[in-house]
Amino acid sequence: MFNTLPHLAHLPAHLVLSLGLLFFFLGKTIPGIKKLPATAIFIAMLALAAALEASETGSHDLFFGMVQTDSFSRLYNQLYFIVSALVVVMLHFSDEMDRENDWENYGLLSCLILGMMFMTSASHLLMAVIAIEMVSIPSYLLVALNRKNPASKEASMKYILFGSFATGVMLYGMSFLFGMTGSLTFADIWNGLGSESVGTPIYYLAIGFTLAGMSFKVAAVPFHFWCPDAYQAAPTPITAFLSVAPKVAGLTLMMRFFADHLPVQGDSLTQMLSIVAIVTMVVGSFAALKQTDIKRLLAYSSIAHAGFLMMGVAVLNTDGRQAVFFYIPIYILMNLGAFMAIIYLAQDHDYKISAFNGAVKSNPLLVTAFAVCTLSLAGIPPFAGFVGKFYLFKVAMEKGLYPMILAAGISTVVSLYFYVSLLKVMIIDQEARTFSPLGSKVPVVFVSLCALPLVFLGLYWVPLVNWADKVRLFQ
Amino acid sequence: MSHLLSWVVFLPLIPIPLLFLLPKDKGKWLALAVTLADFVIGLPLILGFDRAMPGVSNPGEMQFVERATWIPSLGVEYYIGIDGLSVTMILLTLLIGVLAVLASWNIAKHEAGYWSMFLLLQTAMLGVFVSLDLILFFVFWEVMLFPMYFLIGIWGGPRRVYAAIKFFLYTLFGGVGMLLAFIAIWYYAPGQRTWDMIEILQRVSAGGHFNGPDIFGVEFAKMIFVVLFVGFAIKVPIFPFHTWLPDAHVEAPTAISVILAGVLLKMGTYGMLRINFTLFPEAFHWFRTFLVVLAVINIVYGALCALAQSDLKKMVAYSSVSHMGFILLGMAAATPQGMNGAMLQMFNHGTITAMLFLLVGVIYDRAHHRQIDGFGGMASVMPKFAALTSFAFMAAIGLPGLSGFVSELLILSGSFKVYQVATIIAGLGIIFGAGYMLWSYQRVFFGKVNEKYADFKDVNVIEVASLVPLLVIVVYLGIFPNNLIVFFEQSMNHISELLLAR
Repeated sequence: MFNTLPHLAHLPAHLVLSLGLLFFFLGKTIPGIKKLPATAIFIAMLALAAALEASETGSHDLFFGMVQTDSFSRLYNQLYFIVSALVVVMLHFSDEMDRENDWENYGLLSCLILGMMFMTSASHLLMAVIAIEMVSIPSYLLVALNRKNPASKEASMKYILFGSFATGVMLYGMSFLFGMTGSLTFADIWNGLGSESVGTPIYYLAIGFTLAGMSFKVAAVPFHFWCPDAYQAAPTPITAFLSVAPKVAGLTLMMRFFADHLPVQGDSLTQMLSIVAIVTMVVGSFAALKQTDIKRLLAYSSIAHAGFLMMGVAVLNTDGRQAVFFYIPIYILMNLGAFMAIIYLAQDHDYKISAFNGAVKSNPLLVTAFAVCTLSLAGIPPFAGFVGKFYLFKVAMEKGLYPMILAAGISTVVSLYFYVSLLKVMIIDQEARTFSPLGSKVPVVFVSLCALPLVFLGLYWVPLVNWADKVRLFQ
Repeated sequence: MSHLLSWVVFLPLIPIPLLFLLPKDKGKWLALAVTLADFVIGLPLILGFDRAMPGVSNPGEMQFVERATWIPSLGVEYYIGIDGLSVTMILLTLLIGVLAVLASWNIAKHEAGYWSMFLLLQTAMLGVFVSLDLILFFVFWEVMLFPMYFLIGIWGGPRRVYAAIKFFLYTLFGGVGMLLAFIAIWYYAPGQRTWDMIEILQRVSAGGHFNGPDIFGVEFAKMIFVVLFVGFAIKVPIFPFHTWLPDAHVEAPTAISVILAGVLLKMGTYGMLRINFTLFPEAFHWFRTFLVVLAVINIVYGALCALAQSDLKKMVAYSSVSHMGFILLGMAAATPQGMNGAMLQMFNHGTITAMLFLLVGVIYDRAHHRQIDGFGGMASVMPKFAALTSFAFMAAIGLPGLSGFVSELLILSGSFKVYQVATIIAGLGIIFGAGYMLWSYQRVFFGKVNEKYADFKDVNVIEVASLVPLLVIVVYLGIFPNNLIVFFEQSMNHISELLLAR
């Protein structure tokens, strides 16, 4: 009899989340329990999980090579908890989701977070597929839950179709890999493929198809079509969450999957990943130019950013992993800050860009903080987004991936245009409507607290770079 | 080690929070006080500057150096210092800063925002001229962009949004290439990796080479040289990257035009001297003929465009394009005269063009248009203004006895030794220059008095106060140019040596 307890002991945060999942779904049947503050319990659960995760050490190969926990997974898990906690605050200030369904919503989020944690830890492709589905299914539901936008059901349906298609393709690719190597454990796959298969059509086909499922979560081109629709129709806090967390989880899965490749395979893999990165950056930034809806615009901007982050994945080395991790806390701050600001500024759930004309007049502080987040997204110094991009450029330059660098440069300039147009609308244009002052000061504080670290980290990023040092190796 | 240089650079930032507490109309007084104070504490830099030390490629000869680790894991440092190249530009920036405050005395829209952007811009510009670390340089360089975007975009003319975003996109395009080039310079630097531009230059001048691979089939040094050149050329601006300039100038408020023409454009040529040409002397020689061609195109094409303008400010903007071409010509010739002339022209163009823009601002404030043909007989309506304008126009034409003449003479005599034909064609630029300046002067100030404008008041105290210091400098440097040249002579001769040694 296989003893699971020692294995579970290395997954304390996963246990907490699983218990949370059960609690939020089943607890409702217990009479009187609905009086408990769901939000507080959820945040407390995240805090407990983060604390447990921080106290763990060492690298553990669990459940017959299905799951691996190490410094890499622990750091990313902590990021997931941070994003989730921030998104809960955002949910609190949005009326796009039914507040009485908090219990279900938090149950879905718990499941999603758990899925992301397994995506980051998976060291076996079957585990990866299960984890991807654990993230996808709650995402489909959360997208559909926008009661203010009837299009959300349609968007959710599109999302499901794309998701199942991507999973299908991935499983197909996996079957090739299994046929070629007889294993689905990451390390065994690369060893099994060896050097003789490199460059053959089946090699590219198998890996490419397997990559498809991961690309779907990252919303990398050509698996990005669901993204703008889903982002536009989903409740805005959920959009903010989806634009960050599952993307990151997808990237971590890629990084772990490709980490064990043999040196002889390196160039071919870098080539494949750079093509994905280049296409994603270029499509994301150029498509954003035409958008008239701010949520769609931010959706394409997040696609472009995914392409940028793929640069760090494509170099396939420790510096690349560090650069990717370095960018993510910055990306979280600027993206969530921007989304929070538009939730607060939008009236009657009208997210047309033209509806934000002259917002600076009534909300100077909020729009200033939003401007910092946006300029940071554009990568303008002295804001932290620049430093993040700088590290990604640096690793690509060291590896000599010049076509990718060229694409990234072009995409940076192009994306500047739409970010700055956004600022133009809010700051330079005349006020088109009156912005009703909302009661709470919390959103302003929230966005400012996103903006201030962006300025600080843009000028002094040593703490973050030291933190990011720990993801270089899987230990 | 005193922190004088840091104080000069960052002093404008300090009162920014205060701006939001003060009553609206007091912001300009605070800004004036700060820029004046900055000028005063900057004086010891100029007075205490040791003119005998060339600097440039000698780390030991940089003055007022401050050095501190910034990001240890990356080797990025807070490393600032000045040599003859920077000290001249610092002087110009501090001076233009004070005058630009006077020129924006009538700003009456979101004052706190205006002055905070203005002061941030001032710090960024000073920072560019003192940075000796590539990353620090780049950060200051890019920080300049968004204040400039808002200054043009919010406080500019009717097409301000278009002009502002065009400026932003052009400069960022150059900036991204520059950043990538900097990373490449760092990674493939001869010897140990470093962001210290002086250290790298020292190694290059001692025979070191960048051992980078070919990029897209082009030799590493040539590729990086071209990418850097494009980045700086956009700022100068050099044909064909000049099209943002007329738009930005026409739409920008007067004070911002003054800063743009007076200081910002010089960053391009400064960057070329400090980083682009000197780090890649071989590529410089490979590219040199093309540089001369570009310089001549700038001079002649800029002058011809100026001749065709009906908007006074646009004419001045194109005259800038033409005059910046002279700087490039002097640098491409790389002879000691050419180099010194180029540097002197950088300063002189800063003062003379600032005057021209201030004068255009004076008439625009009254008439609310700038059509050259829309005036007439202004000399009898505003005699003082006419006198000041005739003086500035003469300086721009290059009348002997005024400062512009000396620098253009130096440049042309420096380049004639190397490129006779180009120099002769460039000489045409001066003739065209006289043409557009005198022709527009005639149309605005002589002829029948336009009745609409017959009751215009002559220049007021603030306007005179912003013009007179420049006027004095232009005359003084016209007669005693050597009193400025001594500051940068050693540095420029050294750069000339570095470039011609290969």
